[in-house]
Amino acid sequence: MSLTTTQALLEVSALSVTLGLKTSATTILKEVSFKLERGRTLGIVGESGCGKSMTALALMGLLPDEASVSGRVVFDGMDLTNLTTQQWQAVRGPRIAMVFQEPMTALNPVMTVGRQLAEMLLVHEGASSASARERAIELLGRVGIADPHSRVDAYPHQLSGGMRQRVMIAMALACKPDLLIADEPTTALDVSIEAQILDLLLELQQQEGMALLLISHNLAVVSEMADDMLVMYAGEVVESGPLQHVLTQPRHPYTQGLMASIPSMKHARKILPTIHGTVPNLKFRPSGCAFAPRCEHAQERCRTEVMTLRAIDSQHCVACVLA
Amino acid sequence: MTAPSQTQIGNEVLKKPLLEIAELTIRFSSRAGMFKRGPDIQAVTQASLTIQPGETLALVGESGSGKTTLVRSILDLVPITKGVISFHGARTDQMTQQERREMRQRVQFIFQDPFGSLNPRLTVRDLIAEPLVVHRMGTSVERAARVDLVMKQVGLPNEYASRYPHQFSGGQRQRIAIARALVSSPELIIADEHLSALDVSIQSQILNLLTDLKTQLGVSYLLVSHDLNAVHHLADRVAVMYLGRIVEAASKDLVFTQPSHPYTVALMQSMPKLGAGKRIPGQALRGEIPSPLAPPSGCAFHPRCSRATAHCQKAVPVLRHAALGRQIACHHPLEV
Repeated sequence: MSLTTTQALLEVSALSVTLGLKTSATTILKEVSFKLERGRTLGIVGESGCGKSMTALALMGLLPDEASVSGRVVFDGMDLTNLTTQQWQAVRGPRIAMVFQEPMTALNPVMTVGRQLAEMLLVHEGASSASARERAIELLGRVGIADPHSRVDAYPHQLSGGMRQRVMIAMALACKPDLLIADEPTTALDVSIEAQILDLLLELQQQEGMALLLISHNLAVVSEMADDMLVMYAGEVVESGPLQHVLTQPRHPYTQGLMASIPSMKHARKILPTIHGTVPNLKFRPSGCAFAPRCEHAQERCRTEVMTLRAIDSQHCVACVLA
Repeated sequence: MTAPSQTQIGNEVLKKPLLEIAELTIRFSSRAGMFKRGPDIQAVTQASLTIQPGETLALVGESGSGKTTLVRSILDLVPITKGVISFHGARTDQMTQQERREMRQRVQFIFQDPFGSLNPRLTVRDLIAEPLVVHRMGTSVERAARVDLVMKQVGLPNEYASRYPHQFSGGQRQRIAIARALVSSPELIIADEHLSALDVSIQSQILNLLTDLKTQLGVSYLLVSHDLNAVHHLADRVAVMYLGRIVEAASKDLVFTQPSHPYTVALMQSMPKLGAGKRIPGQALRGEIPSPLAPPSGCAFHPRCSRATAHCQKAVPVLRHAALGRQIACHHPLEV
């Protein structure tokens, strides 16, 4: 283990993931690198199909079997890219936990929420079923579910969307993970409930000191939650750095485009700037910069040169030759 | 809406409202057992709205506030219990079959899910032409010309006409859905959460398209949305619903800059904002929207309201007119 000044909890370096066999091989993550320290929040933004969720699945060891992975994912000193199934069980849940977008599909519909929560504790901590039930009630209370003593016996369909997401968070927290990955945790919720869930995540993070990886297509959500941010496009990191830096001085045309396309109440405009076109099908990744076909600043060299993420000041990195 | 009193008078003199909903109540019966009748669910209670020609009205509120039920009742998709809906001054409940048909041509829906609402076995051309066929409008040559024109208006290249919905991304499907709504030259388009499934970059394209169509064709929109940024971008007026009642309605600027109902204020505060800095927990609206099976006494919002008093638990506030053309239903509105 290297003795650097602050050992990051998670260090991802040059992580690439390829799906499919040789002829139809598709690179869905390309040389993704980032660091995340304890107690900090990293936000990942980008459109659908940019590799945000794939990054999360790679960190959880949940990639499909045929995926071939290169690069390193070092979590608290261990490389996650070559763990056995058994070793994963000691990591997934107790050390790294995840909250998914759709609490209705992620929860088991034929099991009470109490039993689902207790299952975590029975499997990972060897708790007795009586104490697991007690802990389940306590956890439901901690995530702000009113009347946890009766709700512990409720089935997922008997709860509202906001409460189901609270149950998901309770399950993720059950074994006190060091890293919580939240993949679009509030996308399916009303603004008022979204605010409650974001508050809950922040409070729990402050109490537990865990690292939070927040994936969202909503830049505003990330801007209120994260310390650092990563902008992904077509499976690559195109811009990264401290959140305030990136938001106040976005350097990549994609980041600039994403920010400009959000309707703003302060600067009302009749016509919103848009990023024309859509995310490319990764089977046919454009040569050179993957964003060049949609970029209004693109030049000839953008279509041929390979972009690499480079630092433009101490922490702010961008993968664009023009920035 | 700089001089509301004048505008209001002007409206009365110059134009009849396009759509008028008065004291609308919609009740469903629930079941307690297989054969036993349960308590009634009041989904919409005494809601009144008007939409002027060319105007965009947005209906906002949390899930379960009755927005979708209300807009569906306009086209008879949900039976009305009480109240009157008028289109160009004609009551829908007194319309003949023929008049209803005509109204359905002039009022069109864009549904929430661009994946579920397009028949996967029809080509884009057939999908867009379908409303014309249903309403027996034009000859087949005229229909084809109309489809071509509408595809152009919504920015769909002509070569897409023979493709099927599964070949398109969410944003393109949304354009197909908008083209379908436009093809019969409607005066009012009702869009129910049509943006929520889309990425921001695509959302902005669709918002621009709707703005264009409004200026070019003069259509009115009734938007149902919980995306307040989009509402702010498109709407002229905003009505806020809570548990089946309209609790505040006013011009967009008034609602966004000087909200008066505590619920409107809470909604505005809940919205995540870019550039607002790190969140401070504890300011979110507490609790959840109550079940319409057991609505709270008095003002339905009182259990979640920071300004609630004993009076709010007893008396239901009625929607009344306030300054600047605002309507509000609250015993203790914020002074603005």
